[in-house]
Amino acid sequence: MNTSGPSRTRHVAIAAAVCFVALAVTPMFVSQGNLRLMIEIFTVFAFAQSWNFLAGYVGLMSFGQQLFIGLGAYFLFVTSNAYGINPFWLLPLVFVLCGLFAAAVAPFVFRLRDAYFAISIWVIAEIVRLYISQKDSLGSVSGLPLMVTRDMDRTVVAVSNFYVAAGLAFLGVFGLYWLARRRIGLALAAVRDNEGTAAAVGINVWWTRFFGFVLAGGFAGVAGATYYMSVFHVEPGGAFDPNWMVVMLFIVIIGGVGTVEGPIIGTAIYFLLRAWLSGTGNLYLMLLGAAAVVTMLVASKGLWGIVTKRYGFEPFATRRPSPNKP
Amino acid sequence: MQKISRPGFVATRRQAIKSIVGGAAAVLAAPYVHRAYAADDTIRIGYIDQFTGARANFAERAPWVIDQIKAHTKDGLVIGGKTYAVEILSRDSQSDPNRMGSLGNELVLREDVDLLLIADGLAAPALEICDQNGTPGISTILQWEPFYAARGSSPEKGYPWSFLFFWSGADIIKNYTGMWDASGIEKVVGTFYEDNDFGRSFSGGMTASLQGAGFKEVPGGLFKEQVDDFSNQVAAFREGGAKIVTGLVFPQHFATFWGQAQQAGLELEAATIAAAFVFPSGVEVLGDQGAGMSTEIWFNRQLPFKSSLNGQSADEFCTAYEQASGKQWAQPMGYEHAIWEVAFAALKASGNPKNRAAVRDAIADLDLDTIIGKVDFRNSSMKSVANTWVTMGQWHKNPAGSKFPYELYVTNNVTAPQVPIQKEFLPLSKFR
Repeated sequence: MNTSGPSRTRHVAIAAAVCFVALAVTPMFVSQGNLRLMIEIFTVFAFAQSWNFLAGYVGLMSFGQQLFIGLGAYFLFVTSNAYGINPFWLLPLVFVLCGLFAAAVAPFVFRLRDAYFAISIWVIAEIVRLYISQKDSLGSVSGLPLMVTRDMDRTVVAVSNFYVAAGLAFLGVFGLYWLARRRIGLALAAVRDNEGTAAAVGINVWWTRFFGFVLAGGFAGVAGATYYMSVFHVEPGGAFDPNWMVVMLFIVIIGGVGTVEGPIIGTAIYFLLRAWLSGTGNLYLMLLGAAAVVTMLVASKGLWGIVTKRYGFEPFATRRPSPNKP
Repeated sequence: MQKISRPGFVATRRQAIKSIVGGAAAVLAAPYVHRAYAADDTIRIGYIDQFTGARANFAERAPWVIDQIKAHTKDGLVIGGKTYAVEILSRDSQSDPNRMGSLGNELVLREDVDLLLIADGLAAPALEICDQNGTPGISTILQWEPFYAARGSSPEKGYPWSFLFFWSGADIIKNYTGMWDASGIEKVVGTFYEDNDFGRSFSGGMTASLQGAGFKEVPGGLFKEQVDDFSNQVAAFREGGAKIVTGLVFPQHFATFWGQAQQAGLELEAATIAAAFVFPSGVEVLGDQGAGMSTEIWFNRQLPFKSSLNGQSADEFCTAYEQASGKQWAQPMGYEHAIWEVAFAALKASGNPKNRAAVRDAIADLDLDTIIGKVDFRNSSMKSVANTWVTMGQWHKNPAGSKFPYELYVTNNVTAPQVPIQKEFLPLSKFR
């Protein structure tokens, strides 16, 4: 029941329009407290989607995506506090700065492959964390508050924050779909699947990968800035916490790596499990781990993989039907 | 294809699956459905503590304290002639700063609590949410230097809605050196620290203070958590002639160090360690050699203070816990009880517990005698903070046949003259 290419894109476009309108009107019907929860869910989804993009679309397995979450948050807090700028205007700058940081480390980490690459980013994240922890001007271990929002209207802050988070989630779904269907998306897929062949058909492997890495870094940075903006405080232990990586892995693996839909399911499951199990103390983390292990054993392609296989339902499929097939 | 219609309430398989899935989703999502605001005659109090995670030992006794508070408030609180029901929303921060921020949003914004209490060293993100949303927040078990530093404030500026009652990190070091000074032990101090944020900051303050007070320091440096050999430090201390060892060391590390020091014949007169000896378990791992170990003290059962809630003395409070749980008392439980004393005193003094500004002003104007001593916001020279006492204590062996092997006593009161001395400080040679 796979629909053909052009019709599928039309369906996705309609879905995008519906989601856009739904997100736009949400703050009118939802209390501020629930808006904050939605901000958290949307930004965590954006974290997961940035890693999913890196691992499932670019083919770069990183264990240090928390680096960009923390960097984004710190770029935003430090700049906003220093110059008294409304943090919302700084988000594009955060994207640029995190992208530049990714671009600056790429030449070094790209020399490493697979596990070495994965660990190298984690090491950089730890270095940045330790550096900030010892720098009094960056708040050292105690962290920094977001000063500017103290004098702003609470509802305006909450609603603007919601729109940014909703925008990130929207981009995480429809932007990723759009990107995967462009020429660059094809190039990324080719590089991910087989670099030798990709190079042979004329794709510049290094630059394609570089593009993916910088984009994922910038996106995670903006998501990190948005997340910490909603709690008004950032500290190195939290922002560069390797536990973020665990959350991203959990969401993407449970849902299905390399799909647009997988992390949506994964995020929903993560937050539902958290709501239900967080009262169970230490058992909570064990149950989360058990859920991930069971999913990996039963469904190696994640829960979304089961849906695709069982029902052939793939609304965001980016594979194009082969022209030679009937 | 012929359409088959089934009469009555017999559902098709598809319908049944649909409704089961829908029902399950509704049940699963229930915790996220926003609850209606509680009636005006219910006071909602949020409580965050580190029940699990790396620092869970601090909150080990808190669930018992909360049960005690719940029993105390089961008939509600009478404030301004009106009886209010009390609803306590207790949450686990998992010793994780990210979780703390997320819980702050949950309790302050979604649950709309009237007052937030936090007995967790990572309180900053949740307190900032209190300040930015105008909800009164009280915290403890967090030194006041980082309470100000974490959010760019100072004792002159304070915070609009968040408060803290606890002692100062600088006071600990004054007490350490003051105790050694008074003991007459030769002034040569071996130091070693865990390589973490607390170890690093403690090490900086200690080195400066030792120089100022005329002590000779034999530095053993920072060590990593994975280390299980301290022979270098033992050798350095022996060569340097150290008679005192100090530092920030976890119990398992100190036990290893102590074993190696004994074997190498390092004869020490004082072992004054932060972290390791706060809890009885840290002394018990030394077997029968725990007596004489010294550390900072901020609550114990011999104190002459009593609870303003139920009149229990410190001793009765500790005994009640030991009887209920079969475990020994520990220092944090005094503060975990006192935070409720402060909360209820402020709510009562506010005249209207549902008026947040009134509650906030009542906290700022509070001068209360609690189970840990005086908590005085009113006459405090620092905004938003009531400084409490910290001083020095030493572990002694209990008489044979006692339920627990060791007991902690106050031996000095350098910066806290109002706390009576319970036993004289003795050098380690007196315990051998």
